[in-house]
Amino acid sequence: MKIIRTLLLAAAVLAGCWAVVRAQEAAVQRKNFWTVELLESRKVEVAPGDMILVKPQSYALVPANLKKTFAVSYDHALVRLIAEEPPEGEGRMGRQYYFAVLSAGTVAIRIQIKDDERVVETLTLEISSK
Amino acid sequence: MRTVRAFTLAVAGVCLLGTAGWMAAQMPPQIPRNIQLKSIQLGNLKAIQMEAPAAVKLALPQKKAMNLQHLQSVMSYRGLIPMMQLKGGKQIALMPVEEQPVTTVAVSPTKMQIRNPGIIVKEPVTKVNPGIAGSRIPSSVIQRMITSLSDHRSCQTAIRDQGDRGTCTAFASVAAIEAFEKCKKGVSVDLSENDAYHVSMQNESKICKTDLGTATYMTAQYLTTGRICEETQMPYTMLGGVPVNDGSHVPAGCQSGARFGFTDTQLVMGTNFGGPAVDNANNPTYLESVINSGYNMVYGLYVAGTDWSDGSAETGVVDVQTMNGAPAPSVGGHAMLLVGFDHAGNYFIFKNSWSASHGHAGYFYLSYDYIRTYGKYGYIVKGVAD
Repeated sequence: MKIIRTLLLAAAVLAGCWAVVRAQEAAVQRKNFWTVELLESRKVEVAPGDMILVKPQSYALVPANLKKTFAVSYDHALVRLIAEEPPEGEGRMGRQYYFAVLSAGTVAIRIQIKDDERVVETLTLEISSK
Repeated sequence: MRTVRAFTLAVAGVCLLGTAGWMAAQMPPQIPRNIQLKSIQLGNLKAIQMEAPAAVKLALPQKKAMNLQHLQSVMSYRGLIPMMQLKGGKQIALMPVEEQPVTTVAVSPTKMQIRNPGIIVKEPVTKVNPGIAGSRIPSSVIQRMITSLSDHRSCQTAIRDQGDRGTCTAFASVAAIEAFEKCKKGVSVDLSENDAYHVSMQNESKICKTDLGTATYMTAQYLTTGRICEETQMPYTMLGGVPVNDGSHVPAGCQSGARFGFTDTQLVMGTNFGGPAVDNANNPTYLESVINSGYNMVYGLYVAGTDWSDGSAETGVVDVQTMNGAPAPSVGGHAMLLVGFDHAGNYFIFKNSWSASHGHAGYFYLSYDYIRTYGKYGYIVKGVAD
C-alpha cells in the first residue's frame, strides 16, 4: 500500500510539473532580437526566448531570377517560424525569416534556393542556445 | 481505511493538478511582465507612441480572427513582428524590432499608425515628406471621364532593359521624366538610368555595386533634390561593369550635364502604407483618374505568382493567384511606370524595363485585383526640370 501511495504522489507531482512546463512554453518571451545576414553558413549563440531575423542573400528582381524558389527547413521543437517576408523596397527578391527560439539546444536552419527545380544554393544557420 | 483515504486524496490531487495544467496550457499566452503593453481596438486611424521593449496588443475585427501564418497576407507590419496570437486569433501581439520613423499596421479597412520610438504621429504618412508635396489630385475634385481606355503609350520613349541589376526604380523614374519631356514639352531625350540609380544609392549611403534596390517613393525626393544627365554622358552597364567605389565613377561630363529631375510630384501611398481611404495606390478608380488627368505614375508593387514568368504576361493579364486559400506570397518588390488602363478589361498598363521581349512588347497588363492586392505606393509626376 505504501508503494501505491508513493507512486500516486509521484504522479501528482509529475502532473504539477507538466502543468508548469506547459504554461511556460505557452509564452514566448522576447529577450533579444538578432539579425543574421546569411551568405553561406553561420553559427550563432542565443538564448531561449530570443528572436532571430534570418536574412539570406537576395537576388535582383529580374526575369532571369523569377524561377527561383526559397524553402526553409528546421527542427520545429527548438525554433518557431513566426513570419516570413520578401526583402524591403523594390529591386530585390528573396525571403527573410523571423524565428523565435523555443528551448535550449542546437538546431540548423537550412534554406534551400532552387532555380527551376535545380538547387543553386543551400544556406545553413546553426543556432545553439543554453 | 487510511489507504483508501490516501488513494482518494492522491487521485483528487492528480485530477486537480492535471486540470490546472490543462487549463494553463489552454489559456492564451501572457505577454511578459517586463514588456510595456498597449491595447488597441482597431477602428479609426489611430497613432500611438511606442518605446522598446514594448508590445502592442491589437484587438482585431470580429471577422479577422487569424493564425500567425495567415497574418502576413492580410496585415502589414513592417518593423514589427507578430509575437503571439491571443484569444483564438482575435487579438495579435506585435513587437517593434527596429527603429522605424513611422510604422503602419493595417488590417483592411481599419488601420493605425505606430511611431517607434518617438512622437505620436497624427498626419498620414503621405504628408511626412513635405519636400516633394505638390498640389494634390483629390478624386473628389477630378471629374473622371467616362472612358473605357486611356493609354499614354504613345508618349513613352523606347522600352529599356535593366539586365541583371535591381535598378527598376531608376528605370521607372527616368521613364517618367522622358515621357513628360516628350508629351508635355515636345522634347525627346534619353536619360541616364545609371546616373539615376547612382543618385538614389548616394542618398542612401549605399554603393551601386551592392545593388540593394530602394523604395520607389523615395526616388521622388532623390530626383527632386538631385539631377541626372543624359544616357550618352553616363551609359548603363550591367552589374559586372559597375565599379565598386561608386562615389568616383560618375564621368565629369555627366556631373556637369546633370540637369534633369522632378520639380513637382505627388506621393500616393497604398492602404497598407498609410494611404488615405480613397486617394490611395490600391484604388483603381483613383488611379484611373490620375491617368485621365494626363499624368503617369511611378509605381511600386509586390511581385507574386507565376504569371510574371510563365508566359501569361506575354499573352494576357497578370492576375492574383492563390496559395492555400490566400493570395500567393510575394517574392519581392518591383517598380514600373503606370501609363494607362483598360476599364472594360479591368487592367492597368505599365511600362516595364525588362526589354521589349517581355510582356506586350515591353508593357505589362496588371489586373485591377492585382493592384488592390499587391500595390504598395508611388508618385504622380506633374513637373520636371530640364
